[in-house]
Amino acid sequence: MTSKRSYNIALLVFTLPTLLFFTVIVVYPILQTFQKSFFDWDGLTPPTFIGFDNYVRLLDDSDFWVSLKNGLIFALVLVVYQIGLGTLLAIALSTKTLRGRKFFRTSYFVPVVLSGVVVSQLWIAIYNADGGLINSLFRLFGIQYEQAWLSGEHTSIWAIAFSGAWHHLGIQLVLIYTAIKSIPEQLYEAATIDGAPFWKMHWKITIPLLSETYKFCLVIAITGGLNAFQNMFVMTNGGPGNISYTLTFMMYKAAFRSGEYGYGSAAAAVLVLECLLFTILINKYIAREKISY
Amino acid sequence: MYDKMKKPATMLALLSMVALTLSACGSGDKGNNAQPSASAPASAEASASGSAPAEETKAPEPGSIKLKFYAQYSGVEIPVYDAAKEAMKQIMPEVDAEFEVAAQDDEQKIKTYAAAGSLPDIFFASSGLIETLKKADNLYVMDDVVKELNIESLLNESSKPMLWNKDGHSYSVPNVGQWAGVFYYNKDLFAEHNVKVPTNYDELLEAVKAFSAKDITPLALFAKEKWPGVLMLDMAVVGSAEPGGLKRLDNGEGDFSEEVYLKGAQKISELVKAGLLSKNAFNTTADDAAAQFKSGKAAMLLNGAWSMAFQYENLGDKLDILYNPLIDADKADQVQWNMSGGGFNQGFAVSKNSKNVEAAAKYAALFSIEFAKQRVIQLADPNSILVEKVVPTNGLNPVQQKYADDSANFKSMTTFAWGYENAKYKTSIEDNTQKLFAGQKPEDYIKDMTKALENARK
Repeated sequence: MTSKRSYNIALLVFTLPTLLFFTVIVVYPILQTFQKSFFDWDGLTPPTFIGFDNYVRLLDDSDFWVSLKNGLIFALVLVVYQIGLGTLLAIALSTKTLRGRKFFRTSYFVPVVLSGVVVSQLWIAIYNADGGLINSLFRLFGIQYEQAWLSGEHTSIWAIAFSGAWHHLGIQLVLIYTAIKSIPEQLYEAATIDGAPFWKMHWKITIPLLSETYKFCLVIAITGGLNAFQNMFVMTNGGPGNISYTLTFMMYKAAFRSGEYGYGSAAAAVLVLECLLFTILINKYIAREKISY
Repeated sequence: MYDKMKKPATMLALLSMVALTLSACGSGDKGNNAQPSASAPASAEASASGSAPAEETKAPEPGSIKLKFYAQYSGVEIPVYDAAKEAMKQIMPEVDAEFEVAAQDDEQKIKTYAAAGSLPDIFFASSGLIETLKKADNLYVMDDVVKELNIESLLNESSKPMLWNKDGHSYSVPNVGQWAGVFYYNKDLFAEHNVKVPTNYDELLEAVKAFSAKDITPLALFAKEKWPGVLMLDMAVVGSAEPGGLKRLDNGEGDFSEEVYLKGAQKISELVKAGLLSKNAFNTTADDAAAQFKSGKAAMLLNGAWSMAFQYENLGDKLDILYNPLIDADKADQVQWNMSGGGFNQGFAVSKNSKNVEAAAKYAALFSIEFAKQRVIQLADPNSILVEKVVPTNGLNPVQQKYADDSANFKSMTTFAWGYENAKYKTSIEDNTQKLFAGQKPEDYIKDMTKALENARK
């Protein structure tokens, strides 16, 4: 009895600092954001309660729908590129017969250590409509497909999202690679004895056993996409107009440029709910059973 | 049992102490934010006594009053600030001003300072910021200081209105004259390609088509920033005989249903379709645009007149300026001296909560005058705000001389986008105008802006 009680106290003592820290840094600001979303507030003068008016206004604001769509596109690009390509690369890197594995493993991680501004500037140069790398390649091969990648209504968000996906591919790759390395060798040996071809072996063994890792990777990729800000801030400043807005950018515009902190808080509240919804759905439908070896 | 509990209990107690200490720090700040500290009146008295006769009180020690000064202390303006500070040491030796470089961040940092109750003693304030801080009761009203120091008598006639807000008070002392937005153009490029230098909208359209056909970018617009597009639309509106331009909408007059605004948007749309901009315009910074213009890849460049010294340094005698090539041909005589740009009340303002508020106000007012003087001496500003005749060290270049001569004819000015007082209107017009330049239909632009203006005026 005494032992259980002291164990609980110890547990409390060890977790309390983190819980306190988390509450002050994360929970309290989120609650305050929700509270402020019901007010008309410029951040300086006393706020006025306006009920759900900010949320009603959001529904009638083209910035909101563009931002919502762009956030989903960004998340989709991150999922496909980082998890899809990340899986293929992780499988390749875990194949013992591949030469130069260490070199590739380090190379794929290099962009992660670069600052977001540096990566954005690099991609601005690549996407430059007048003589950027992509348009120059098209010109070199005589293909008439030169684009203003970052200012085209249908290309801008895809181009920005791709640069973001490229930047952080290394993190997802490391997570998936580590998970693959933890799968027991015997499973592959048994499959080899049964004559399973390389890709079938990974399809039937590796991918299903990565489901718990995928759950985590999906949460990171989707919430990362919905929350995207830095890339568009540096590369397009949300423009031209609002075509590369995300909800985070909309919040920034409302709060810091227009001085509408209440309205910005409403956009932020929707973003929090959106991220929460995706996290719940991922936890509910992906890797419902715990895998143990 | 007691021993087992002792350690965790001690840790909990320590944690609680840390939490209490942190919250105490927070509330301490809040107290300071809510009202000036108890020492403020005493300090203010001390600074006021600094200007009192010497026999009554002891003069304060040199540098004894420390003032935080938030300003654009960067680039070409560094020597201007330094020289003004040196001059101020003779006038108010008791003050030691420390510059903090202002962030180019849509005034977020200064607004955050205001929200946290920690505004610097003196700061540069645009007219938009003045309106915001006025509402929040953060600004020191400088009426008494302005009158005491007789600042108005130091300003020339055209600059006197800049000292007073529309509510009749003074919240900042102007530090630089009004600048118009101008088109810089490369004379040699126009001559080489036999293109007529445009004096009205029809000729501008022809020039755009001609340069575009020759694979030369007609206009280097640094559209990654949003205000140059708004400036050009403003010129189009002013050029159709609406001298108030887009500013009158900011003032709460008129709306986008008026024909002149649709016409302005149609001009921009037509020019864009004719090839006005480079494909990369929306990722072009001011430096990129200047480089394109310098290299002869672009025939014209749109910027404020403050850039004359820099552009002349790049192009030399090939450089000339146009005031508004977007005016309607049939209204040229009527509107040619109605300018876009300039025209707002801005300058150095003082925080109401400054511990040395009176000394700060006096310093800000006198510093503004010194700053204006040094801008002319060091940067050859041709638009001095002062009555005193100040001579630039290196004289005026031909373009500056032209501007100085012509500025006597200017009949009116609107404002640059950052001078708009309604922040919601400013944000909407910046974003939507960028869309117009990206190819949005003029009718859709008017529809979007009508809605945005209604919302901004709520």
